[in-house]
Amino acid sequence: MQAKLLDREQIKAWVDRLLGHYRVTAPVMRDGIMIFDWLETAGDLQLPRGAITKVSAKHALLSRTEVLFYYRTKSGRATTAPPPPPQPQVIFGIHPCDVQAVKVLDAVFRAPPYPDTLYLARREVTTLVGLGALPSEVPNHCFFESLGISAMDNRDCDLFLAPLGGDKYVLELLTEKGAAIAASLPSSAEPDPGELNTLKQLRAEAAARVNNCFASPEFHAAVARFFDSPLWDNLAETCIACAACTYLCPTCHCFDIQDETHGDLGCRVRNWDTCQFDIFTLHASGHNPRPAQKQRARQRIFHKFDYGLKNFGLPFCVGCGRCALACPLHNNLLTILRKIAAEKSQETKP
Amino acid sequence: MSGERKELREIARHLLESAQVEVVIGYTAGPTRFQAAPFFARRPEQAAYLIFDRTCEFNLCKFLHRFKGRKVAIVVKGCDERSVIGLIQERQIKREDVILLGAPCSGIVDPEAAAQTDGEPPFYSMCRICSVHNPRFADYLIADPVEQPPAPEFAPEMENLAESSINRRWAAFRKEMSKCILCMACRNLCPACYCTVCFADASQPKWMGKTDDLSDIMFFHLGRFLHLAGRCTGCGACERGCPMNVNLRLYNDRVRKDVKELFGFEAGVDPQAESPMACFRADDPNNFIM
Repeated sequence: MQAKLLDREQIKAWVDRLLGHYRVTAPVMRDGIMIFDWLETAGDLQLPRGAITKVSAKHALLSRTEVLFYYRTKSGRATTAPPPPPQPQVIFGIHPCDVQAVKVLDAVFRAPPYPDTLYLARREVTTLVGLGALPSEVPNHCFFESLGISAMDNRDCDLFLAPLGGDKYVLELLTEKGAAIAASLPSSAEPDPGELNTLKQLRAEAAARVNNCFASPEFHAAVARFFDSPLWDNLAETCIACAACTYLCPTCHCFDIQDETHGDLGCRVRNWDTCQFDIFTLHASGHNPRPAQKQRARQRIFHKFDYGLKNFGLPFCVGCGRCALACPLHNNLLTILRKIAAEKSQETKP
Repeated sequence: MSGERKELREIARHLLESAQVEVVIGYTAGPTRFQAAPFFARRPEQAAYLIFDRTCEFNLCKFLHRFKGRKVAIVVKGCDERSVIGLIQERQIKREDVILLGAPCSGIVDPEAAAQTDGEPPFYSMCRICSVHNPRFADYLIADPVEQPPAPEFAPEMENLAESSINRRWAAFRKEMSKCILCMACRNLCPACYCTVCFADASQPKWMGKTDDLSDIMFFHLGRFLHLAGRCTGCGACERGCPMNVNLRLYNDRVRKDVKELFGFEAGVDPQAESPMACFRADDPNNFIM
């Protein structure tokens, strides 16, 4: 494996060059919150300590609104046209847990018998540049380590920026796709054996913090036993059924298909949607298979820790903790998972 | 004037024991140091879990809709109390169904900002200019009244923005709106939002699209601002709860100011006052009618 030693200025110079050829989404500060957004200039790029942004990079693969096709209707006849092909893009500075979230999206949108051609086309032209975090800087709200992911995990990245502390980063070249964008790196040294050793130690330290407590078969069996638990009544009682948790979740991927029509022109789009809205499952007949927030609150957890595993062999949660941070009522997924793990009898006290 | 001084747990327990209420809507310790959680005490012994401190953020009045026509007690800060008065003005709840446990409050900690500092945890900016530290109509006070410093009536940044050019105001509005992801937290947190079917959710006809186009997002918020004209009490729940830090209070305050200046009415202030949306007066201003 090839590696380069970079500092912040070199990284920004590199991103500046990338912007000439790619759309680049990366951590930026917007009005006091760190989010992933399309970069206009490399100067906006942030390399956050702890590396977790409040908003994930999900939008780069599953945009809030995606055109499926355009149409024109004239004298009873309709003609359609596909959306333009996706532009090559780079997700720069994506946290290891968010990389595993991309794997969840891949599994869902690749699944036979209906692989999602638009998603796959976009995924094909996407390069992932991971950004690790020092084990000591993992934010308190994150629990990806309980899902088998470490803060220095370079799995499934094309390139990986590993912080050594201070202003030093080791860039690891992991795939051919990664090598292609590394071609525009400014001149930079290779890490010396001491620096490589530091990286090795930090990676071992990060890996030592990993456990699989929410990724174990025992835990998933416990989740399944909670289907009829009063836990969901309690959760629903303090849930206002907004989409803050699911829209900021890097793995939630549900959408609603709508037509946006203007005269005889229009397009069919898919917009983000969420199982937390009562209208999400409302049928045209008026019947709603998930009529109460109890069922909707349970659906979110079961999709992540039961259905995901049964259908795709993966938990649909990567432990980023964004849902807990975003919830206006401070409902905390980790609290729920701990309750399930403890398998204690349920009381109304939260 | 607010009523008798009582300890929260003691009065909550008494109200449940004597079956004066079926539930006490309050707060309990939450998942982290600066995050209290809503709590519904239904049995006398559950009163022991109730707390009130500077982490009790939510406007619990949103939950009053769930208990319509039933006897409840609810913990209200000065700002939350205005929502209760607003709901009484709108005939959504009856004063005699609700026992108000007033919580004097000097401000609520912003948990996100608190996580970024080791020093004194900062309050929400809206709390620093709050004019309703002390509830006025509470049946019981669960703490001693706090000092009320002089405070502006409306968000000061609104006054500043109102002075600036139309281009600057448009740019500022676009910037705020571009942060929104249409998660509906503002609507779902708002005690004054209680339509059976929201215009944003209606499908027959579909009033608004939910794309990421700014026009859809602006349509949603402009719809809400106008729908809340004469109804928004300025509690700030929408702004505190917004995961994307959209400054919604700024625009709601602008409409509140218009309603006050044109109709002399403030939602949530005087339980006896008639809402301009629900009454007609011969001297109502009409110079905005073409």
